[in-house]
Amino acid sequence: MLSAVVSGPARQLDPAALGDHVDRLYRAAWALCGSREDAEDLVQETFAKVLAKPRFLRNDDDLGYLLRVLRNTFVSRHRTAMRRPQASPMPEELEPMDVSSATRPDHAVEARQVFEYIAALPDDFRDALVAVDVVGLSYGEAAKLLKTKEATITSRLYRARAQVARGMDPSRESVL
Amino acid sequence: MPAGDPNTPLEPVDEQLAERGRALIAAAVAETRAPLALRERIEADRQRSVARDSGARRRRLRGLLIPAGGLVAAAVVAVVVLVGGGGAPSVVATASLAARGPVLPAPAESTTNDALLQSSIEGVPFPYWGDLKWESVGARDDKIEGRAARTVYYANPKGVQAAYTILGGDAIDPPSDAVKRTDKGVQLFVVEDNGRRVVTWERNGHTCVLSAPMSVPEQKLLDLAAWKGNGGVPF
Repeated sequence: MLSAVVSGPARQLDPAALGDHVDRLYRAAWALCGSREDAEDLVQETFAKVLAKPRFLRNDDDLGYLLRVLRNTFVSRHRTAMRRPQASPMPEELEPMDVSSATRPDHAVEARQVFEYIAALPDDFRDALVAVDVVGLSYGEAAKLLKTKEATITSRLYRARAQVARGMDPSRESVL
Repeated sequence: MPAGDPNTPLEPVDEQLAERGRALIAAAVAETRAPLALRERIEADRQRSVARDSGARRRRLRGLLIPAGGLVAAAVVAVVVLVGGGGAPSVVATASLAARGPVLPAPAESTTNDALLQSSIEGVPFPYWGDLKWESVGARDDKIEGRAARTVYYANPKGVQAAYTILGGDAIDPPSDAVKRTDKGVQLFVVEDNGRRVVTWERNGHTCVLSAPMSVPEQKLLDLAAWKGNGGVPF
């Protein structure tokens, strides 16, 4: 579970600056959910929660805080979804691939596959990958957020990256 | 789909495979941005939140003022207005709006002037740079130090984005460390901030700020900033 790093005097999170983090949170959400549509919903719900009342932080790590809220929201949604009957959309209900955020359609397809593989990783590996490779935190920041050691982050990243590479090349065997 | 027990012993993994995974993820991250529709929804939520909070503040203030009497109320309001007025924003602070990204649709080309977009602030219109291979791709509105600021984002064929902000109110001074340039008779000031090249100049008494990654040559930014569209862009 991601958790905040607490130190220093409290300051209010500036709602006007939240837009700075939309891209990174969207990528993180996609890597958690494995679906663009769910990622959009998750990011919007996360921002709605943060905007619902003034937020006071004891550090400068706005992104770390938002990532924590995002993941907590994801876990909460996932638990709720697991209690509901599952329904799969018919093929004609599936939306066409949105390539508006990628420069080339083939790149968009590859990015989608990468995020799907990250989402399907074991939680510990996925969280390390999302924190460092997707959101851009340092190993130290990721270790603090994930309440573990930097060496553990390094190990998880190493194996998770390899697993994503193998997933994109099915001829190779799993290492996890 | 990958699966497995994270507690199983680490097996030897090809270093190249991990590196390929890292590169694949980096490419996917670089290719992926939040859809504009999502940005718009978040911005709408934010504006509703700001309106709700300011409404609550007004109600609290009214609750304080009514028992205190008209004279005291007037004095308190005067203080609030003076404090709220604030100082002028800086060019660098204005340029920082670029990092927040577009939340509004790209303004269309003007139907009456092919050198302009259908977007302006306080009567100062944004230029249409489509003929220069820089298309408008989005926009945003902000308040900075109590002033309105509108930003239009332009992208070239390589996908590199430049942000053009026009600041409401009187023009502000350029940064003290800015380098002075002149292009097509326009006086411009260039400064670097946070890995971006920033150009500032005046149009019709308003400060304009154009910023782009350092990969965009300075002369290119100067040419865009000083472009007059055969007299179609008012300066």
